Amino acid sequence: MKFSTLLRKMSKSILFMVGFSLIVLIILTCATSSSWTQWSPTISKLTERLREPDWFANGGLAGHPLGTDPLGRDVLTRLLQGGWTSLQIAFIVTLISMSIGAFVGLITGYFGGVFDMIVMRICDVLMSIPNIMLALCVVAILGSSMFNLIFTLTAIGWVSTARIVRSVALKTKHQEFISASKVLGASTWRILWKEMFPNAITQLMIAASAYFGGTILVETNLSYLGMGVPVPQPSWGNMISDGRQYLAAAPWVVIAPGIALMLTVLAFNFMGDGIRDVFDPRNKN
Amino acid sequence: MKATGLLEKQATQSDQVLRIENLHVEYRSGGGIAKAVNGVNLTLHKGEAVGLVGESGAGKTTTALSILNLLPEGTGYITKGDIWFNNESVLKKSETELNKMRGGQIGMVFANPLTSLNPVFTIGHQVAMVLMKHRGIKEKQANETVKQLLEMVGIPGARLNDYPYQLSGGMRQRVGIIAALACSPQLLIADEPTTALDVTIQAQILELMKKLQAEYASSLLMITHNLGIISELCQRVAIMYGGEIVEYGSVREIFTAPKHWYTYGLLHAIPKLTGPRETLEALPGLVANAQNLPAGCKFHERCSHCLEKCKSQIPPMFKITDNHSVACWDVEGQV
Amino acid sequence: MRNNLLKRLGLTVFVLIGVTLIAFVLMRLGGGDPAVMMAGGMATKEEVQDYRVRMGLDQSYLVQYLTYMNGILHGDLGYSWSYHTSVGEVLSVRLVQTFNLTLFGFFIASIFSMLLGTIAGIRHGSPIDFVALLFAIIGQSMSIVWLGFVLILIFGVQLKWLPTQGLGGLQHMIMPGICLGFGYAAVQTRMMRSGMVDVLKEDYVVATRARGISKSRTYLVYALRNALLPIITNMGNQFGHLLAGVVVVETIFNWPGIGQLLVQAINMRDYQLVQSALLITSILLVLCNLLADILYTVVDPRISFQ
Repeated sequence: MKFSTLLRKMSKSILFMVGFSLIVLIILTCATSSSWTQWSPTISKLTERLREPDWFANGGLAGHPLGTDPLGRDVLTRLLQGGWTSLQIAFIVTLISMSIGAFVGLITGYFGGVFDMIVMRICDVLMSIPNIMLALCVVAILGSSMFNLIFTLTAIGWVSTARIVRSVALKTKHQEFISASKVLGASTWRILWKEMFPNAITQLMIAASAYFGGTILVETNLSYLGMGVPVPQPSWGNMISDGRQYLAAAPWVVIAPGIALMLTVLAFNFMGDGIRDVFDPRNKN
Repeated sequence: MKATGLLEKQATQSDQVLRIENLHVEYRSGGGIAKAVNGVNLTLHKGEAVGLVGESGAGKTTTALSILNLLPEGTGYITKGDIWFNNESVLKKSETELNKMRGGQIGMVFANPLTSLNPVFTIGHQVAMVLMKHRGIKEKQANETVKQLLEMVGIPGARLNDYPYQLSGGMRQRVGIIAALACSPQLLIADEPTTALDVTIQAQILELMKKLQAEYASSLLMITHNLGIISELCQRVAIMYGGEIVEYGSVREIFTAPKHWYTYGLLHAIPKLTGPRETLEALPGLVANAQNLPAGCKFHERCSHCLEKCKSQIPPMFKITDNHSVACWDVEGQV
Repeated sequence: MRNNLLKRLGLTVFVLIGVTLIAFVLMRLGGGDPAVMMAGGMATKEEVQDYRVRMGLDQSYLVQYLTYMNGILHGDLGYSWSYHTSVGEVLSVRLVQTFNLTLFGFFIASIFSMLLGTIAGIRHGSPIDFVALLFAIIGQSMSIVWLGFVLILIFGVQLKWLPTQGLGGLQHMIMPGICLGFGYAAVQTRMMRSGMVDVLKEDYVVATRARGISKSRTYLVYALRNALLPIITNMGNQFGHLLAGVVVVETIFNWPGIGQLLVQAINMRDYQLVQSALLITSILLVLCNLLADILYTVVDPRISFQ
């Protein structure tokens, strides 16, 4: 499928467009927030602690539209910049996981043999330990930091992608256009990259949307278990878990990042569903 | 229109099983309206076999489902007309009465035996459920009858515990047929029962249906696009186009002297096995689009003898002989 | 069929050996000396060395692993130094609690999602269908930690209907159960709904109606069985996902199960406890997947003979 046809088809899918626009909006807002928010996300100001949300009534951004947290920091500011942290983590993890997964999947699917056997058994093993537990162990050992978090999620994340791409590679391996390329003397790398990889792009995009949302969710889980982004740098995960003790007195500290997170994951799920719809052979448009 | 009343005249007789009066059916979904059936009149007498012929999209299956009042809910609507079964209006029946009628008094054989049997229930159960429902017997007793029925259509009775996937397409359609006939219905509707089957199997199934129809003395409404089947099984035939019956009469008359140009086209699109070799005449164009039907005669855009009148006025049924009527302006002068 | 099953079982054993290996290596890679933690901050070098010998940590890694594996084969899951008792004993108590919680969550979520999904599928396009879809979409996008907090806030703090912490009667299980099953319920509702919508379009549904079977019986007996097939297959796999959630949910609601235990054991560097907890969880997960495959062949006649 040509790239332009692909774009045209996708722009017709309401689900995709809603998801995509929402994602662009969220990313732009979060990414630029440091230049237009009035408060520092990290410096605490104990005289201002646990202020209730004023919903932009006190001079808009100069007040505390979403209130302040237990350390007197503006929740909205932290929400936006924490979002940027969470989004960046999710983006990097997704990108690297997908790249490794696609590479491994193509190689194992195309070459097969002992290498394929070994890699697939490793995948089996990794898949049979619940993700969170494995991540918990690894981060606990490495110590919690941004880098370790990203490393761990990537180390686990490539597995499902590798399986998806491998099955596509297996399916296309014996098709005639591959044989034709071989006969024409195309190099193995060319076949893998130019002939087989494009067949897996749809699946990859769907998997990526799901994995992006999933990573944001896992980050909250790990944050809660004390293995997330280290304080004071805000992330949606550590904002939610830090609000635990003040749940009764200041519910807004927890509710705001939870809703932001939900909207973001929702947008990615929409986008994934949209892509699936567009490529569903049953869908004629 | 005076001419349309012709067919109903005979219909008051007591031996009529089914009478469709001026039936209009629409499908509505997503703002679009498809007028699938536009004023169909048809009568079936006791023991009679009538063929309903037309290309796909002509409204045949819709007509059949309307008889059972089983149009897809929320999309299919009967907007005008009525259907009388044993002189009772099907549309006015309660759901309980309808369920008694479906399967009990009217049996239906579906087009695709591969999809019309439930894959996760045994074939025995799918026939037995008709008997259990309408005869009020337990599955054990029903199974005895099912075995006999299976044997009757040439499937060993012991296979009643098989699942549909274990049977060939032809065998599945036999199961579909005995499920429809299990309660000796007065009317059997067969919706393209052989279309999905191999040619050799088609003949067997047709032979079987012919035999069973005679044995059970039920009336038959045979829906098909295959004119060969009609000449084999039916006494009368109705040709359908664009949701209307355009020609109606005895099989012999219509096959020897078709009056509607659509019927003529259909008959000449089939290669003849005997006689001198002729060129086949394909009907030009596509079947009328139910979402955007042309004004006047629905067929005029594809008709090689189209008159000015055809483009704006819907032709009524003209009676040619007692056994033959046609809705075509081109034959107006012959009446 | 039988051969396939044996093959699967062989593969399962291999996978589980892999799990023990990963757990072992991970724990050895970790910083912090368990002997030091056991001996306490005030201990002398000799005392620490003494602990190290008693815990078998002076042996080579290979010997440690083989000793551990040998124990497992004899039903000995090792000794927990933080609990001062055998790992088997600690785990068995915790496992019962985790089982109670997951089965409860799984049960209510399954029933709820199947009901909602079926009704939504039958009433395709109606308000209840919209509600079901909304629930499915939101449920899949929600953080389990956040959901737990919101539940506590509403039912524990504001309404004071339900206890928020620890063990107790059934009412103690409601919130953690819902929290655990929420995401799963969302996925299943969605699958059930679309499955039902697809099945109701099938010819055999009309054919069944044409035999005089009432609408409700056709839908609830004949169509439902078809729609349930993929759901049942998915159940086993989903139970595995549910199991993963216990780490978080048990910690939030202070539920003394295997998930909470794992978190504590990791923080305590209780090597053998972590290894065995991971192993047990993996066994459960793998068994669930195996069960799902077997179940599929049982419920779908088309598969069982092939």
